[in-house]
Amino acid sequence: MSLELFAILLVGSLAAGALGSALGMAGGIFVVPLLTLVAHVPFPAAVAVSLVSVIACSCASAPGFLAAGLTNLRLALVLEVFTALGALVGMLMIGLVPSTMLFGIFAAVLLVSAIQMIAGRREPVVTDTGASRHPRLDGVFRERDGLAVPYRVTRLSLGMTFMFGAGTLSALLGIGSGVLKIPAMDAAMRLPIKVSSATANLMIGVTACGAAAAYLLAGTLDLELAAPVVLGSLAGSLLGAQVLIRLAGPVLRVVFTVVLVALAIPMTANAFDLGWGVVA
Amino acid sequence: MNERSTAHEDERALARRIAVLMRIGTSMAAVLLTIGVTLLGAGAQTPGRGLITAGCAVLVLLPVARLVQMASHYAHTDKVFMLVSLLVLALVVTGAVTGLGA
Repeated sequence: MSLELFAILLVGSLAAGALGSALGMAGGIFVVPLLTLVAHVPFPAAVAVSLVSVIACSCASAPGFLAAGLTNLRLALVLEVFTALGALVGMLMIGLVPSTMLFGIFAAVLLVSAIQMIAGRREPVVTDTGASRHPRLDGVFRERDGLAVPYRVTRLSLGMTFMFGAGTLSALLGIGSGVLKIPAMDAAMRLPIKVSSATANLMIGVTACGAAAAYLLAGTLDLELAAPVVLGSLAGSLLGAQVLIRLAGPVLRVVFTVVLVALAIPMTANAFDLGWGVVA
Repeated sequence: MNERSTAHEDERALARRIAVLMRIGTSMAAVLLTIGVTLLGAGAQTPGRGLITAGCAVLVLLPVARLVQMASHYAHTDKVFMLVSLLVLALVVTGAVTGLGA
């Protein structure tokens, strides 16, 4: 690998990790296009590297959320049953889905993420004042001013369904699947945004680790590509957690949306086999 | 202290232990990867690739270690969640084995 490509992958992954962690996702949604469009890596090889980088982002961001008491550990475990099942199904589909279709699905994920980014995330309005349906999963977190905010877990079965889809997409596309996890936890389960971001972040690692372990054990993980991408993602996640959260606002949201749409264009072209930056 | 607040404190203690695990794991992985890349750049292919593999392996094993940690914690506090932790662990291992054969 040339020094130039190493630097591009390191800096690109750093930016991906920083943006991803600042917005409560992993950076896989940027890493796969970086590898396929810039480094001309075949889609399956990009997925393998991206899965390890996604785990890196999840593990590096997790301590901050855990220390702040934002992660709902019990809920994460229950939902991980479904993301892990989905990932299992996704792994069974690897090799059956042609690369052009994977590019198409990826482009769709980018566009849906862009729409979510424009629409923004709103705190859910909880109207259910009756008895809790899942008291062992309910939780409480503290705002910065020390105010305790209790919350309930609702519509768990709908959340589980979304999580199954998220797991499948993660194994197939090498992403953290924030595109499904965010609506599942914000809109479907009506969890506070801080709790859903922290809990989804922790789940990403478990969702990705089965497929990543398979690539690593099979020797199909490209180590020369993985080193700069994973190092960049680790550094980016720490940066994102420390710096970008303070900057998160309308400008960052617009920049993020433009990048997502810009990436969706070549990915769509590849879905139609137009060979935009991809090796045959 | 009532039962509910004790459970909440137990959960906070588990979260703190997981945070420590994640910090140590990601630091180890970063060190292994950095030394591996340096050795690879210096032309020492075999040790360089070995360390990069080890760095990636540490990262991949971190979520698994977290599940083991949770299963061990819930074994003392909540048997249902211990079983859920073990179920997720079994699914992850099955996924890895399935992926190897794919």
